[in-house]
Formats: sequence, C-alpha cells, structure tokens
Amino acid sequence: MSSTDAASLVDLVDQDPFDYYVGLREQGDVVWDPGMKAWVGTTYAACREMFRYDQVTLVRADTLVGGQGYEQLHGKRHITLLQGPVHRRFHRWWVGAMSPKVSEKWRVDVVRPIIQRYIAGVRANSESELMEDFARKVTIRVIAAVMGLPWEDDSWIQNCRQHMDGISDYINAAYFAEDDKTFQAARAAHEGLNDMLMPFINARRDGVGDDLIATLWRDGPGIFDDWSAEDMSSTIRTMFFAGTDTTSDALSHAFFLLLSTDGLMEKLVEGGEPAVWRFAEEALRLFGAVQFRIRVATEDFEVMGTKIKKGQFVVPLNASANRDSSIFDDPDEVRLDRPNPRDHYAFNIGARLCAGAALARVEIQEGVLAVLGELPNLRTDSTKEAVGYLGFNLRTHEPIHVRHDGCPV
Amino acid sequence: MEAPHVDEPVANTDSPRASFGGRLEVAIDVDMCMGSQNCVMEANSIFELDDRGVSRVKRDVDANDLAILQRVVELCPSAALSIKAGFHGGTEQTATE
Repeated sequence: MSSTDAASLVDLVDQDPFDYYVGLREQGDVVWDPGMKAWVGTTYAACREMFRYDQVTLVRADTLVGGQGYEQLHGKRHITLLQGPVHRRFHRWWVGAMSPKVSEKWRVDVVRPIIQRYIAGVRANSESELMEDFARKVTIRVIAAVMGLPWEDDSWIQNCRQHMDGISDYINAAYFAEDDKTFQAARAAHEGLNDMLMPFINARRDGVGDDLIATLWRDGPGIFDDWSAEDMSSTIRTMFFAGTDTTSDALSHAFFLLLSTDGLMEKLVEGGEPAVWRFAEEALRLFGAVQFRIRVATEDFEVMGTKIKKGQFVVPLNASANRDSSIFDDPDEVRLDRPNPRDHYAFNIGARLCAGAALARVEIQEGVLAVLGELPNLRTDSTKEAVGYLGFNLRTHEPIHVRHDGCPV
Repeated sequence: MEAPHVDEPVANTDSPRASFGGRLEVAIDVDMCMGSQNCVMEANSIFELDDRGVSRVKRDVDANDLAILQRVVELCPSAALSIKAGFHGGTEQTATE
C-alpha cells in the first residue's frame, strides 16, 4: 500500500508517511483517524495547542494503548505514567540531570571518545553499514557510560541490546493489537535487562559518584519520600532504553540526508560546527525519531474548533507539524538558514519535553562531524540493499550502506 | 555533578509592590533552558525563543505580570527561570533559592 492509499496512520507502517500528512493537513488542523480511533493534530498550531494541555487535560495514554502490561513492565513511577506536580518534580530531575550544561561536559568526556573509537572501525573498512557499524554501537554506549555502566564490555552491551529489541517490538506492536506473546517476550526482556542492571544499581547505593545512577540514589528520596530500589531499577531501565534507539534513529536520518541531498556535505564542511549544529536541527525537524506520542483527554475540551470528549485519544502528530508549510518555508528541504532552527517538535515542547534532548543533540552533532571528518568521499553503496524509512511511531532510516575513501591503503 | 534543583520555590508574593516600585526582572539560566517553550506558550507577550532555541524576555515586565511570571517559573521543566524585583537604583532578588 502506498501512503496515498492510506486511510489511517496505522496503514503507514514502513511506508513514507509524508504525502499522507500533507493530505491530513489539507483536511484540517484536527482530523479524526478511524484506525487509531483518535483525534490527530496535523499542523504546527494544532499540536502546539495540544501540548499546552499536557499534564492536566491531556495525559499520556500508554497504559490504555499497551494494555495492563505497560505498568507491569515499566513500574508505577515510570515518567510517562506520572501527571501534574508529581510528574513536574520528577521530570525536573531528569532535565537537570541531563541539562545542556551537563551534556556539554559529556560531549568532551564521553561522546567524543566513544564516537572516535567506533568511527575508527568504520574508517578501517572501505564498506560499511552506518547503523550497525556505527550509530547503534555509539548511542547505547554513550548512555551506558553516563550511567556508569560497563560500556566497554562488548558482550554485556550486546546482551542489553537484545533485551531492548524485545521491548521495542512490544512498543511498536501495542498500537495494533494486544498480543500476549509479544507482551511475554517484552516481560522477559525487561526482566533480563533488570538482571543486568541491578548489580550496578546496588553497588552505588551509597550515592557516591557523578554518574547518573549514583546521582539518582542521592536525589531520589527528595523526589519521592519512599524512593526504593524498584524505583531505581525502573528509572534506570527507562533512561537506558530511551537514550539508545531514538538517538541512533535520529543519527540515521542525518546520515540519510547527508547521502541524499546534493551539495550538503560540502556545505557542512565549509560551514563547520555552526552549519552542522543547524543541520542537526533540520534532520530532527524533517524526520525526528518519534512521529507522535498518544494522549487521552481527561475532560471535554476544544482544540482549534474541534470538540474532543473526555476519554478520547488525542495524537499530536509531531512529524506532520514539523513540515507545516504555513510555518516552514520549503518544509521538505534542508535549509541551513532558518531563523529559528530549534523551533520544531522533534523533542516535544512543554511539560513532556524530552529530557534527553541536550545529550541527543550532542550525539547527533558529533556523529555528523565524525562522519564528515573521517570518511572522505562518503557515498551510498548502490550495490547493496537500498535504504528504507521504517517503523511506525518510532522510525529509522536503514540500512545505510556506504563506501568511502578513508580506508588506509 | 551538582544535584539538580528538585523543588523550586516560587517568588515571594508577600513583598509589597510599593517597596520595589512595581518593577520586575526575569532571569533565565541559559545553561539550563531546554527550549521547552512552556513560558512562550503560557506568556507569549513576554517570552520568545531566540535563534539558539533558548527563551528570552521580549518586553519589560512589572508587578502586573507577577502572577503569570510565577506560573511560568513554577511550570518551567528546567527550573531555568527566576524573578527578581527591581527598585530605583538597583535590583534585589525576591525568589528564594
């Protein structure tokens, strides 16, 4: 099915969705999606209005979409399950722990060394698949490193990777049908990941150290009076998971754009870091990593003239808003001269802003710099499988088969 | 690494406006601001995003704005905002840390 034949977001799995989003915006700011059984905010203005209602009128609907399994898997204090002042308090901890200031320190101490390690491996071979050979190796290790986990232990990392794949499968499947087999596999994956993390979590109970696990042990009792090991486990699992695939997916979009946009690599080399910073925002705006996150209305309310009833699902479609032509000139193009390059919804805005946005930005910027700097004459390897834009609400560009001239003779 | 602020008190509302001449200033910690745009959404006559994606104040504020400013301070996900009272000849911070 092509996206022009789609009748719902649910028809767009592994399809390029953007022509469909154009059609949605032409229908209106807020459109009913029969397959999602949800009101979809299609435009920048509609999504903005919906984000304003976050935390009170609109709350995350993950438990309703994922069934009872969601809370069982993630724990009752999962950040997505919290609302109001409690959410605000915990979210502030997350944002502070991963602030722009902290992330700039991590750029030097963590991100660059890890990226240099793995770009060297890519450079040593004239052919590469940038997701498996680079992006996925980097992002899981960066988040592991900032949490004080053994990021250099390849076997340990690979085992974590397998557990996270099981969790991802459940998240993507949850929108379609409650599937006990997938839930049980996700449950096993959660338990497996937990078993791998707990020795490190327990080892830092004294809260000594500047990694995120130690910091959370110190600060947790100030967030919730009855802070427990279970809360630690749930939060650290979430942080580990949230900081892995979404960031490698965002890198995939940047690499796809580098390879498919004429003259872009030359412009970025000439423009240096300021140009790469702007490009990173364009990659986020154009493709993001998360297309949307579903909410549910806790009361009747109205968005841009559309009446929404209590209990109905609401979907601010971030990826559609980010290409709204009423806001963005040349919305489908990479433009390095936009006046407000960070004015997009790739990380949400408002109360549910992605707490890891600053670190994700650092990883995207440094990943692009490394590819530009270490892989001269980078080009698509057209003899291998072509790239696709795959997924549903979490999307990636892959495989990204490339050749380059950086391999020493 | 410093522990992030977990509970950020709002500005003291008991100070009589007359003591401070009604003038206020908003301080934005640009190292903490994540560009959540909560302040812009709540008070777009006062706040806007600059080209770095960081919040900035776009007009003078005074005691008439105190209620909305207290709200945006409370709602800021990054605890990046604070309110200072200005009086003739200088400024004095009213928000407790």
